[in-house]
Amino acid sequence: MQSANLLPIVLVLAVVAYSLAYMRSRAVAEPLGGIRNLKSLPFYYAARAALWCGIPALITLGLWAGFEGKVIQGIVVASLPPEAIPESIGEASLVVSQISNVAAGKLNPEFVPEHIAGAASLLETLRDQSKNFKTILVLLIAVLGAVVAWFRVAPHINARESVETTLRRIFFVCAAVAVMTTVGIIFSVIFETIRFFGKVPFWEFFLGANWSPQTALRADQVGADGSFGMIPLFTGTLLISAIALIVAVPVGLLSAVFLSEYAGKKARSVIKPLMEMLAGIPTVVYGFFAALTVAPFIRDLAETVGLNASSQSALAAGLVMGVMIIPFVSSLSDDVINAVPQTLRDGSLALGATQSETMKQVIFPAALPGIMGGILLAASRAIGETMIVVMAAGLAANLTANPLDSVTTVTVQIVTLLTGDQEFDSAKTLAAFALGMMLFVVTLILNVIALKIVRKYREQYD
Amino acid sequence: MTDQRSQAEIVRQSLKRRYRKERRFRAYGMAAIAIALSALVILFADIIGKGYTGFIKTTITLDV
Repeated sequence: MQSANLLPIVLVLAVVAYSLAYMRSRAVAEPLGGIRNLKSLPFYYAARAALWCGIPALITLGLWAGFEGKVIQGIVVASLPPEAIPESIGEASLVVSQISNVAAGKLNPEFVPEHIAGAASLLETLRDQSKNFKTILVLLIAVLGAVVAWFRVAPHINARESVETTLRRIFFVCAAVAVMTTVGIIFSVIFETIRFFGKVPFWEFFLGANWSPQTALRADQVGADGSFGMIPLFTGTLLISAIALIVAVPVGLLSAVFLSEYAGKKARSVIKPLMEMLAGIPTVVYGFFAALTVAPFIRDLAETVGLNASSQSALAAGLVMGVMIIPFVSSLSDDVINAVPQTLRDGSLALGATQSETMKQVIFPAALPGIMGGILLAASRAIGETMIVVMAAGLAANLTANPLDSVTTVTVQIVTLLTGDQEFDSAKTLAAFALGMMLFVVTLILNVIALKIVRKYREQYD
Repeated sequence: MTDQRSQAEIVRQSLKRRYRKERRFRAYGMAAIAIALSALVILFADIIGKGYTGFIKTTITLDV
């Protein structure tokens, strides 16, 4: 039976175990004078039966499904005659795919060597056996668990405790999955970064002012060696993010203040969703808005003033990105300002301060951690934003502080590095991981600094 | 008594300035919201203005 069919059967068995155990616990309680003489409520005996029936069976099913293919493949390869045993990993995967193609009927067995055809039939019988064995084992474990739980429905056994413990373990596993995913991402990036630094010296990457990752596609091809200096990319990222934050922080903060302290209920209920719409627009739409409307407008404006501007500029990308992240600042700040206790506000106003003085000198310091959080969220969005920059700021890695020039960012370069058709272990592809690692480290440092600032300037009132 | 009155006097003198500040702060807030909302309006106007032609089909029927 297929694993997909086995899954609902196990669940049905668990439900059956639940109801049987429930009925039995009532039956056991009956002669004793009601369920209050049981150690736990009938629900817990039933839940324990369901858990004991379902969880071991599902774990077995998962493990079997996970290792089945590898084990069968190992047996099949080991059954090959000694002269046909593959030498390299590539050859082995070729032979294995040939065998499985024959077994799946995609390849005519007459056209392949005899030992391959033999291995294919072995593969098929093994798969059949494994399937049958798995079905029997999983169902057996499920029924066994249910039976054990059935016999352990007794007035002196505390089922609640065991159910609680099991649930706690399940929650722990869920939390562990989230943490392990993060750890896995970090480690995969670290390993590829180390491989990259095996090809490109660390200081060249770290301090190089030249970025042109053009390497030869094949070994015999004439091509540039490529230079991997990350400085232009990071200045580009910082330039665009700085422009975006210069737009978003004042506008977002002041709107949040106005919305929470001055605007009436009616105006607020209209304006707030409208502002949050800005965050809901896809970045692609922002991207072509920046590239087709804002960038040419800025270029024309700069030319009328007599400045030389390229049609793709950091300013255009930064401005549009700033508009995009306004709601991150305004919405979060608004919530935080509203969360400041009303007593602080009333106290300040009662002492004769005007509303703006109350805002600036009392509420703002109290709300600082949350406001900082909003700004940080906006900053990390700006640093990680890709689409707007691709369209509006260009791909040229210029080392410049001129916002009218075209620049490129770390994220954009990661995209262009990974979408090419280079082999994976070339310096060009691995550079993407090194850039990702650096981006991760930089945002981490920013976070730490921001936390420090918050801790230093926060006014704690409660 | 004189001391208190002079304090009230000081506060009264500063009131005009403080109220002006208050109005300015309020105006900043309104301006910020106006900027954000006008950005939204410009964005939509631009996209609709450029995009509506995509939904229009022009046909000409000629007598030959």
